[in-house]
Amino acid sequence: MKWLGLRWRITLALIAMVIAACGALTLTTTQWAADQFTAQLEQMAETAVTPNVEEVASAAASHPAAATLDQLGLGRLTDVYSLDAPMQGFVIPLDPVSAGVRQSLVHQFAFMSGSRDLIREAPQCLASQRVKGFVASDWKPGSASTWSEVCGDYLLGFGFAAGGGGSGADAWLVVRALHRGDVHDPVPDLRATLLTYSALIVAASILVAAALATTVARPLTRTTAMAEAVANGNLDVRLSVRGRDEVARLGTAVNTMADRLTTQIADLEHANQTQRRFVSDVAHELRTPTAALLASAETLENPATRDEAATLVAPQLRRLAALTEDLLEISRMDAGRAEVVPNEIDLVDLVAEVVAACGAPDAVTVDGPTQLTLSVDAARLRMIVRNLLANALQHGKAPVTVTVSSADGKVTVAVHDEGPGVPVALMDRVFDRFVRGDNSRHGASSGLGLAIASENARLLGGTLDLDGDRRTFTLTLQQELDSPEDHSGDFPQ
Amino acid sequence: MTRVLMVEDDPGLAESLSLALSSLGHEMVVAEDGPSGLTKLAAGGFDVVLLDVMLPGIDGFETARRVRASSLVPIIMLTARSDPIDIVAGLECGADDYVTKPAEPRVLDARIKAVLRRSTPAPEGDQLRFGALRIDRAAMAVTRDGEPVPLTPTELRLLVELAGHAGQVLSRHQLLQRVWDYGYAGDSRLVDAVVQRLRAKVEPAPSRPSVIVTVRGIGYRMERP
Repeated sequence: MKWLGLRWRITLALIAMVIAACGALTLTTTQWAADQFTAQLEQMAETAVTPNVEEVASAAASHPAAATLDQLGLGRLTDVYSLDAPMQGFVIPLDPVSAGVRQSLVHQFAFMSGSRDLIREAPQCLASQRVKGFVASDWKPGSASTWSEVCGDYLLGFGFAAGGGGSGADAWLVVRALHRGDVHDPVPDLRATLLTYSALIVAASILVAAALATTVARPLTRTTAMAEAVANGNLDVRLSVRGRDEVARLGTAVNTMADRLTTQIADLEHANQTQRRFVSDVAHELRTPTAALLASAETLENPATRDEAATLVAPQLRRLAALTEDLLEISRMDAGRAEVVPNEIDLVDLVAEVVAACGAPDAVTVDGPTQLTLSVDAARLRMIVRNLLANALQHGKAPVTVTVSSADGKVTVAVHDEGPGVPVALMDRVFDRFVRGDNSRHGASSGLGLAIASENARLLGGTLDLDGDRRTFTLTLQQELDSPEDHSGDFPQ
Repeated sequence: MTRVLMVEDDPGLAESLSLALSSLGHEMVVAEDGPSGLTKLAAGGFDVVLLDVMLPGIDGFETARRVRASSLVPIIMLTARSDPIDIVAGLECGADDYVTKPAEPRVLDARIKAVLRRSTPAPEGDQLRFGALRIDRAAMAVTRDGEPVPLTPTELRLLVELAGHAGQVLSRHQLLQRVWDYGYAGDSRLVDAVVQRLRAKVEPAPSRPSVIVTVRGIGYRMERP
């Protein structure tokens, strides 16, 4: 049934089950009714024969020498129209051994209800082997017994009466037959009724099965359509889920899947966009120094301008080198290969060193204790402080103040300048790559300084924040590094 | 000796480029942003402006628009971005040509010279009439109903070129060669942008051009007078 849909299979299976149940019920019921009817007929045949045999028995008792019905005074039994008697020689060569009586002495009578003649219509029913119930158990004169037999369409009621004990007949056998056709048979009517009801039940079951199949199949069809839509890239479709059954759970699961996909695709697209912008930003950053170098290269060939050109080349090369260094650092961080090597250092010394090397040490003042030791990766910390200072000097305005302090097990380094501060619009993105205060290039700035500083702060287990005044960057580190930050979790090897 | 105003905020690049262009025979003046460039330009005496797109404060496009408000001096945009939108935006702001960074000084020199050549009169000195439009090829002057039409050298050169071949279709490539002196690698959007600007100045109804018509898929044609 592969080629049939779920709806058809459920419908057909249900209908088949109903048909089987109705069929079985009809068959069993009609069979039982037929048996009942047969038993009833047998009872009727036996009941019918009883008065006859009693009449014969009583007549035999009063006429012990009678050998014929006439001699019994029963020339014609009154209640049955077709009574014919006697019938020796015509019917029943009774087996004398099994019967235990002399055949010649058993007189038989056969009766039929209505107009039928048993002797003419069904002589085989009166053959000796049919009269199994004939046992001369009670052979006292005047005794009588009855039983019934089925023969084809006939129900035979047998009546046995012992003879009067005189010289007459030893026994009398009375047979009375009922033809099935003469009695109303309720079985066909019952069968017809049952079949009619079965047909109605089957018809109803078709509707119920179709409805049931639909309730199962429709949500599946809808879920399938939705999944196909998602597969085709339409991520906006969702199912309306009702109830708490399996199909509802499937719907919820598919909806959740679509939600997750949507989020993941959005994340990937965002990451992809970020990556693309990064690459284009890098290319952009490389162009300006390259353009300058290209211009200088030409002037280097001219003896008149050679000296001046030579002085222009070095700063551009330094700029390219710094940019390359920053890009490498960023790529190491992105690849998760940034190593953190902590050792004991004096933070105040480190800040002083960086200030001395920043290019404008006179514009920078350092506030704080004379000594503050902590265990940290000195190279990374130096990078952070250097980038913050460079940012303050290039984008902010001197004087720049560096404040070192420690409290509650935390060490902070705050770099403050007197410039206009980070534009409000940029506050959220100030630590993003290639984000600058305006749309221009600023000399030696790669646009990566704060991004690298922020990433380094994270690697050191600390934070780098821009304060509310938009002119102070604060680095916060844990002073106690008893349990050094575990970076293996961040960067799977 | 041409006087070139270079508006470039990156001091290293400005210095290197002005040194290179000086050695190629140009007199270089550098401005580090748009407003100071406009101030210097107002003093006069510049033959061409080299304008960087990414400038602090007022960007190159806005600067070009402000230059055009008062001057027909040829503008060459210097852009570090190769995004097509930027180029079109620059051309719509009134630029005559653009060069992407990093640019060889010789290329810049060639572009400067090409722009300047457009200011010199065409050899065949006669007058052409196109309806209300009168083009004096000897004086390099255009009037409409007797009123002078202010055209940049590039616009004028393009008009003269089209007028000189009135009734004949000129492809964008031909126009790039003849007006911009591009050998083969010119950007046809230059032609489209300047045609748009030209139409705005000479067409009676610029949205339904009747003087300079577009020949779809080929180029432009000036209707015969």
